[in-house]
Amino acid sequence: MSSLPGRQSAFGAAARRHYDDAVHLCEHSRHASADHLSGFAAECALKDLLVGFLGARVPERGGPPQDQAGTSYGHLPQLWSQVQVTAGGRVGAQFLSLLAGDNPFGDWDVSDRYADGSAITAQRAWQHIRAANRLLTVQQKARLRGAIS
Amino acid sequence: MTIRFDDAWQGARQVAEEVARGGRDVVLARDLTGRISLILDDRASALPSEDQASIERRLSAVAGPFAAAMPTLLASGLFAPEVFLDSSDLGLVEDRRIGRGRLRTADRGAVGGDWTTTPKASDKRVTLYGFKGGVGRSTATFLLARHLASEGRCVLVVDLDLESPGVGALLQHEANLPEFGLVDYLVEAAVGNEAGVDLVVRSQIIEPVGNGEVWVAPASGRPRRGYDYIAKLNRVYVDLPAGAEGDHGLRFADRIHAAVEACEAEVARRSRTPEVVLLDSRAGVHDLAAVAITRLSGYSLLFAMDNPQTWTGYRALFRQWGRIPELARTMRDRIQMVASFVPPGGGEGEYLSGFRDRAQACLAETLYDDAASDDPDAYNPAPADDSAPHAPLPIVYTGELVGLDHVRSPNWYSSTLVNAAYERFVRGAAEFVRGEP
Repeated sequence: MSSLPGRQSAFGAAARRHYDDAVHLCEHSRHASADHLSGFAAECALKDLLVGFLGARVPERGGPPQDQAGTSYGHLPQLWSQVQVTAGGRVGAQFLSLLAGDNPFGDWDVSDRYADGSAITAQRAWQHIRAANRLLTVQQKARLRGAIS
Repeated sequence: MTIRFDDAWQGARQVAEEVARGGRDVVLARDLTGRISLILDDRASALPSEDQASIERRLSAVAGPFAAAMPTLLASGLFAPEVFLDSSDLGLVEDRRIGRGRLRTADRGAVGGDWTTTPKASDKRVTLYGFKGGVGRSTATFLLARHLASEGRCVLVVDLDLESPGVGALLQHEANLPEFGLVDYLVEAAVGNEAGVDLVVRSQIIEPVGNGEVWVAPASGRPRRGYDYIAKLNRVYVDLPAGAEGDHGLRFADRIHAAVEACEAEVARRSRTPEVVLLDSRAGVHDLAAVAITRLSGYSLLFAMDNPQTWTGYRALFRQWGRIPELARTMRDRIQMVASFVPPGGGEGEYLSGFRDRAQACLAETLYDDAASDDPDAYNPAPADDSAPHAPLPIVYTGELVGLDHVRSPNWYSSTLVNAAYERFVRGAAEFVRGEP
């Protein structure tokens, strides 16, 4: 069995892109948008875990479900809890260290994209970026483990 | 009062039942750390936020430290909710009825999930399982295979006791074992290289007169230089993650299932489709046993000695099924107790009577319906009911088998004493296999 990326791993690439952009914006003091993208990076990494390791499936019609009308977006902070209640068995156990602690995105809300952003501090943005980084590390380790097992 | 693991689940279940009784579908989930959350299906009918807050408060109160950070989740907010909510690994506790919602559970363990998955069994497969080892299971498998073959059947015996294989060596001389065994199939299939892995052989030890055949799929291939059994065994329990497009990964249970199907297909190709497949399972609460009993086989013969630790073990095992009523109903129709080792002579009646009472008590507490139920269809057979799963098939103790070296005593199975000891088991199990108890 190969673990070469297919369409479903678009979530992994998207996670990386959002993360890199979040870091770039934060370094240029664009904290609100950096914070927002850090959440998207985390969401994509979590969806990659769900699809790649925990049995979720991308609908057959093509494209991630959020592209399709009538399907759920699956946003943080609930998405974090969804991974917790889905992770099981030997594969799921590898994500335990990540998910046993508190949800670092408990205060993140996708609808903040409509806010003026003045409430987002540099500290909060960097905290979310660090949390997204931890998620990406776990996701990439899991991919690597899958590829060589 | 400190809320412990079991209290939290029981309390949460009551909350979930109350919500379901109000007409909403729910899934009660317990994650790998034991934390509990309730998934509320709001897709067809929205849930007012104050109602969600009230459920959340009640759940947090009963689950204490085992309440998840988000004690309730809305189905409408899940990523691909239909995949999660239509998953076959959810246990059905209460189905929808008029005015009532469906209650299901998602209990996530690091191992053990296969004990409560929906059975996908084949009636021709029979598992022989003992909660404890040393109960005569492999000998019983051998003698049952021989009996069924003497009736003209094609029988395949699969050695699923991968940690301590044995039945393969009973059924075939070591030099004539196939080149590969189940562990070879499992590691080769993990890299898509299973084609050409021949892993069954026709027994040259049981050679019935007539049309019957016995085939064996050993755990290990023929011992030879460079053949590393342990390195393979150490890799058989992995779940393979999803990979390329369209590939959703394979869980350990699926991999074992595929291996057993490959054995069956090979027998069919080389001779004829096996009519009976005997799975010699490993002992204990182990995932291999879970897969064999709940996923692969239509029937299971459960070996037990009449002692407290055995009944404590079976009670815990049955209770897992008993928590999901549909699974309890399915599993109690598919099991049969086997009493080993019955003391010969005068003590036999007393031993079997005590065994039967304790087996009935164990099943009445876990898988049978409530004895006080006024439902005329309730299933709760009395201890004396000979057709009930608790009425044991006896295996009598015989000193002939103690310390037996079957290589040095190649005709061990022809011994009158051995055959007498297993006679009632073999006859009863054959009827059970044929579906005519």
